Amino acid sequence: MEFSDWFQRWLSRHPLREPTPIDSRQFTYEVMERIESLRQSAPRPLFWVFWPRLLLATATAAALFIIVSHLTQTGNDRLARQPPQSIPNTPSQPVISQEGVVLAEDKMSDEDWIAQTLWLLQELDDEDIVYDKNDGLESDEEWLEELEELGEDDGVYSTPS
Amino acid sequence: MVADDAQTIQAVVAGDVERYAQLVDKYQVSALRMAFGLLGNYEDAKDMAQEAFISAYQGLGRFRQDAKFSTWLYRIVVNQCKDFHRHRSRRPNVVASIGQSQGPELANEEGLFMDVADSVAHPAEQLANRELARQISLAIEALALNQRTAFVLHRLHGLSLDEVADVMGCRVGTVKSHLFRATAHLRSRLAPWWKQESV
Repeated sequence: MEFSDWFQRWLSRHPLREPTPIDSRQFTYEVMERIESLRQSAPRPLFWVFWPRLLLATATAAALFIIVSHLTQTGNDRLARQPPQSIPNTPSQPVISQEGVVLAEDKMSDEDWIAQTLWLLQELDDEDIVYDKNDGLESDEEWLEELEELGEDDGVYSTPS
Repeated sequence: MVADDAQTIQAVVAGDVERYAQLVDKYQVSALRMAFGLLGNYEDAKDMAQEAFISAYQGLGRFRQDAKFSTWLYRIVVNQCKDFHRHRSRRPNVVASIGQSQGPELANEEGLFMDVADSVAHPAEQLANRELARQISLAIEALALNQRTAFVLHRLHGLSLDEVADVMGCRVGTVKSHLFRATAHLRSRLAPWWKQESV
């Protein structure tokens, strides 16, 4: 007898082991339980995959917002610092920052302009400005006359007629 | 594909998940026997068969309606068992404690086959049959994985060569080659019992 025939005959008398009916019901129950748990947990994995990225994006956006707000606020603070000291007897007082820059020009008379210039010079405390060739103190009137002459020569300042 | 299987699959894909239990009830025995034939251990076979059903459920949307569900399921079972076997073979061998037998042991002490008691047979003959069943189980477990798969599917489960090729994902010629080598190995290993009974 050939081995194949002998072996086939032996197999016909010795089938493979099979699970018992009770085990079959338990098998089906366990499979369906696992499928049900997979279905219930299915939406969460999507969330748990994306939530770190969502959190990171939110944190980045919040950080950018804070940085931009801080920079904007700092700029505003710089611009809105304490107002300058009052300018004496000037009809119109332009807004002047601590750097001495005239931020709001206004039509002013020549006298106002002169007074404003004097104030600025005082604020800057510019000791190098030479008011007189002789380096001596001179009166305000004399100094104003020289200033008028200077403006006429340069064409910057025009005396009213 | 069987008409009722197609209807069941359509219902499950449409959302009636409870209908999937019908497929589990119908094919669990063959899936379990196939996994058991490949792994030789009932608990491992049960785990792999369950994993196969769950994988099949998850892939039902991709299942081609023109194919047989049983063939597709068996392919999943075979792949699960192959992965399990590779994983198990990578684990380091446990050193046997002193006093234990160093000889080959079955994954399942009872072997792959049922012991059909022959009341007429002499007790010594029954013992010899039991020993032969054990040796055949050992010989099948000793086969290479592909040879064992082809042998179990074709000789123990009765699948045709085309079906075996479809399940294993190879050509029919490859299946024949695996069967040839498996048979040669079993013949050489079971020669004492075969020749004795052939006389």
